[in-house]
Amino acid sequence: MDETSPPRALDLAAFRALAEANGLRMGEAELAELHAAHGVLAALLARLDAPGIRAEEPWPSSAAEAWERGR
Amino acid sequence: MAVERGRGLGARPVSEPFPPTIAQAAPEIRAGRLSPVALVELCLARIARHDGHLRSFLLVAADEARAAARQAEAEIARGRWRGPLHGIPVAIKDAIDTAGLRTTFGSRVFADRVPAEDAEVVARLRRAGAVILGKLECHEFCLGGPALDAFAPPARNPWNPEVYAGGSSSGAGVAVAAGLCLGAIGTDTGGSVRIPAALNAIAAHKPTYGLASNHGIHPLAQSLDHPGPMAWTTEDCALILAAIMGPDPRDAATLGVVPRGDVASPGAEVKGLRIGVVRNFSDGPDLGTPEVNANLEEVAATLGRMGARISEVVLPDLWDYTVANTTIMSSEAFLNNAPWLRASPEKVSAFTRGRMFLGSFVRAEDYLRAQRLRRRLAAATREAMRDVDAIVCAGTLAPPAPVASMQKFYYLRRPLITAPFNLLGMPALSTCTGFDAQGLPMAAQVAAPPLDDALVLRIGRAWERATPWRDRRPVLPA
Repeated sequence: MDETSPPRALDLAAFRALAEANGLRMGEAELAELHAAHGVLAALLARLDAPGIRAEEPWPSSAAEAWERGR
Repeated sequence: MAVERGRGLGARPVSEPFPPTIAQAAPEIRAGRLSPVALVELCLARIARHDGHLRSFLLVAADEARAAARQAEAEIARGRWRGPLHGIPVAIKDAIDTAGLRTTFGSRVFADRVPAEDAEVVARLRRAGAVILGKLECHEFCLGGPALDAFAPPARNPWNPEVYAGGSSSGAGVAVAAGLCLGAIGTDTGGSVRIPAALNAIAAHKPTYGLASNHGIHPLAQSLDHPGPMAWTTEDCALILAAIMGPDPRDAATLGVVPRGDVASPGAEVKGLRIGVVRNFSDGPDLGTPEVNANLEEVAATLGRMGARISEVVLPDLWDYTVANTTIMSSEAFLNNAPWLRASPEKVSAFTRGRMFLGSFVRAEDYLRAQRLRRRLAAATREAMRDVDAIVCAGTLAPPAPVASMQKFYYLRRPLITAPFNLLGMPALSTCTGFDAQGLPMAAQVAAPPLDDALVLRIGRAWERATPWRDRRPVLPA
């Protein structure tokens, strides 16, 4: 994330709206449980913001290629 | 009927014969001293006797298996032996297509689906002469278990039926451990052959990414999915892998993937090999239990006594691998299953639904960041392994939990020690390294750079020959 990125964690209302926009159907209890899990995941995703991940590198086309290009 | 008994069975009380290993059976079958028909009947009898309790099979194709066994026997009698899998009864995870046999992906959504064509790995098994016994229980869509409201209840751990048998190739782990088949094919996206292997005391190999075709296998996450062999021994895993691997024009990821060494006969010697012990994956706050870490030390010491040159390798934080793997897997899993998740969520178990729905909330920018992290981790892992040939780490971080206590999102609370090798496409083997104070299996993983599957299998074979763990089978209810 950079300083312009919206926070990953969402309040329940925003989460519900996004679930509906994604075409997901579930009851309120299940939605609340999923919202809580999303909060846990959002916290974990902060690891993706670590420095040192170079934006200009191409995506790995295969695991072996990624390994070899590490040379 | 005379059936070869597994080695070491005389050292412990037995109530029924377990089948031989593939490596034991193959020369006997070739020489006409062991009948494939008798071997299939043994497996079918064991399934009939034990699987009502274990629930590892979703479908037993008894008639087809008997016919295939008769054909194998006739061919061999005519001198046409196809190789070590000829006449060997194996079973297939229900995420993998088998022509004419119902294949449900573990879900009500596909309860009546019968594919017309074999997955490529199944076609290769048949060409090798293997006998397909049936389809094995798996977590729904390879992600949703162990769900007690699933299409099929989760398979039961034969070492303790109240605890988790691992997944998503749960039926395969249980069936092999219980001697209901001599080998199985599972799939592994974050650990799904290695975790059931670890929890059932069997061997399982996740190959280099692209070594075996994913064609005809329900995708969970295409960039992380690996079909892989599961068997009582590493030696048997090597024989199965040799039969199923190789380029497939219908799976572009397999093209140009040429493994080093001889996968079928990788040897069984570790003298002189440089093996790095990865302690930082399991030794730390909220990581492995003291018993897991003590077991890893014993593994390292034993490999050292066997002649390996042991050193320590420090890899990046296990959570980094886990988060990258989970981000990529969740996103791809949702996309691969979105049509029925949106149209018929009521047909999907609550476990699966929750886990899959979560993937829909991963932003594209986070998916792409995870791919960038993946590249960084590949470079860092390679650098950390520059002075070793292979690494060994714990197979799991803790003993299996009671199935009834497992919650939907438990995987978000603990890092996944199997995930790094999916993320980086490295070959990784799980092999039994003993039993804990509760009598539950413990395991280690052996991993190496991509394309070094033969080296990994060699270390696993050497380990199993030097240790007594292949002599201990679960005691099943009469």
